[in-house]
Amino acid sequence: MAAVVSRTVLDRLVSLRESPMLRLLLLTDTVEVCGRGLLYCLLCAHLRAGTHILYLTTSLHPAELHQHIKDDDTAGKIEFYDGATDPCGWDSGEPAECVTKPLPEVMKSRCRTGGKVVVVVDRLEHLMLHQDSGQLVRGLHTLAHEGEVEQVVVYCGRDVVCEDMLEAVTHLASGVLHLHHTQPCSCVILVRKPSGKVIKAQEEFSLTPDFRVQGVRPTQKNTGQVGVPADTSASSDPTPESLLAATTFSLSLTDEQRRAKNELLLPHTRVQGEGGQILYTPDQEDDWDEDDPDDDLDI
Amino acid sequence: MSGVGAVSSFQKRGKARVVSIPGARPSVHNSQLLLSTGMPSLDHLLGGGLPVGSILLLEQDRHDVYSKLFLKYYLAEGVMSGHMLTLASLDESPQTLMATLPASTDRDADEDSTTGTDRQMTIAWRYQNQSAPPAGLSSNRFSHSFDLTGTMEEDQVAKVDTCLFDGSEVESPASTGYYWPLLQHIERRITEGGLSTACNKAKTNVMRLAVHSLASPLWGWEFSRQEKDHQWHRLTTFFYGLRALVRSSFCVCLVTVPSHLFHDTALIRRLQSLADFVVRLESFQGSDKETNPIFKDYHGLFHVVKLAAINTLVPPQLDATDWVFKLRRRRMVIERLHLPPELSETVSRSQEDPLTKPRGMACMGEKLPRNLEF
Repeated sequence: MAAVVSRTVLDRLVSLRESPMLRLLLLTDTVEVCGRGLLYCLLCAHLRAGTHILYLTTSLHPAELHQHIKDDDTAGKIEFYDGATDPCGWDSGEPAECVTKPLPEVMKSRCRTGGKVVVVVDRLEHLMLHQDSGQLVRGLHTLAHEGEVEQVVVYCGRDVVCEDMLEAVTHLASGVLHLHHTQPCSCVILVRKPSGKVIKAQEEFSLTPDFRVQGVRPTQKNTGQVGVPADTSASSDPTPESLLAATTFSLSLTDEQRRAKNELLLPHTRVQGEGGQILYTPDQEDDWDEDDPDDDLDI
Repeated sequence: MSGVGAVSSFQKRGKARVVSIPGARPSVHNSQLLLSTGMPSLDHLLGGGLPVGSILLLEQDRHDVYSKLFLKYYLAEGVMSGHMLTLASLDESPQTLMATLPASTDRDADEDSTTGTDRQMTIAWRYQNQSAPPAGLSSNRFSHSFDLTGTMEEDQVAKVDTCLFDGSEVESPASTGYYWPLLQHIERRITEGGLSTACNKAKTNVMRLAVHSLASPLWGWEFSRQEKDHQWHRLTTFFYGLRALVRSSFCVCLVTVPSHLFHDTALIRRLQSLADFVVRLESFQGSDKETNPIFKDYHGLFHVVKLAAINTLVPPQLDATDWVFKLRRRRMVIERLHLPPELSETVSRSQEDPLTKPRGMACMGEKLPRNLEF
């Protein structure tokens, strides 16, 4: 099967072809659309690539998760930190360490022992119940910059988590995925590369039963334009009939005249398109810009 | 004999009192000692440069892409002039920032001095015996030029007295926060360098302070609080203390702030009133202004919010109000916003501001066409 060059940002993200790897990835969903499927896709891709996963779960039991994310035949293995069974310690008497302690401490022991790891925080909003927000944000940042950690994936519901926490994590994250409830499911992606490039995209996708993303397509943009639209009236004839009728000049064109006008080849356009190429390699001292300062002249 | 216009050879006894600090020059508007920010176009907007003892507050663009470049120019200029540097950054490791400074494009002074010093002068033979002007002027130049495609060498950066603050030496950030330890750190550095104006030692160097992304979520949660919660005091006290320290020492400070995160605009107003120079970057990345044809050559708007009037009644006036910045391949420039010349056939003679043009004309409603073709 020939390799398909993926032009969509979501494809590159999920198949881990985004280089360099996004250190802190925020995945949000709402009550109406569940982002778990996409999360599992990403994790399966990591497992297939051989990275170990440290999964801190606060809502679903590890056994349930293991049914969906299978690591039996993959190179990477998944390890669960159970913050779902008894986080407040009502049964055992002690609150669960994995939700109360700062994240780098929780993951520390496992992080140092060989190989790259991916840390997954399932449901940020539940962690916020047990930890101070400043400490949580600092923990995420420290963890994302740890040498052994390849990626930190934070999963939360953006209609449940408070605004400042969402803004704080968005500010620190190198990639943000917001899922929207459309038919089919779509997501707004923001990728911030270390080189300074920022990529914004809106794409729709669907998932297969074995957690692969398929049918990724950019959505049609129908946002309201606030800025000045480009002047397109040069091509069309904007004078309405009422104005033409009011003047004594004959201003309208018959079809024949219009055709003749469009077919007219002006002398300067004839010579364009011929001639040689200019091959230019800039020197060390040259300040060569791609854009031509004469570009705004439209002769 | 000494007549009008003759140069006297009389020399005053004793040491000259002129303060000579590398990379500094007196201002033409007032007698302030100015330092370069690393970007000549920004220096021009600030009235020649950044006066010693002032704070430049830079409000970051949304994704902190261009503001980091401003910071790097500032630090690189400090390295080239040999100033002391202090960099504080929590969001990004200060070591990474120092390792990715733009390369300098100044030729080494040593290269030029070895060419043709033994030439016999045939025309200006009276000047043969005069000594050559002192070489090595590159360290005394006011503003250096940089090339963004290259990186400054590590050994050049290592020559400079640098101090980095990344929050790792703060033991309990929950109780003390990061602001107070940083302020103490800066004060220690000023005292050790003898840069305070209270200290009688002759000053031979200045210190460049840079704080990257102050008040971001890693520093504290002030950005989300409202004024009525009265939770801003750590940040505002820090800024006030910073201003006091910088004013009373031979320092200059650049602080970048992610002001788009602030929920209450009163916070940024407080910081603006405490700073001397305030500029704001508004990049077009990801906004609908990206597709606006007026802005297609530029990368963002550059707003000059406040200029300092130090020892004067009004600051030096700028001749234009709309500025834009543009990131070229090798450098960043700040220019006046001009509208491109309209040379197309359908020239619209509207006098309105194209940024906020209302749809539809006033008189005849929608019926009147925008262009009448003859």
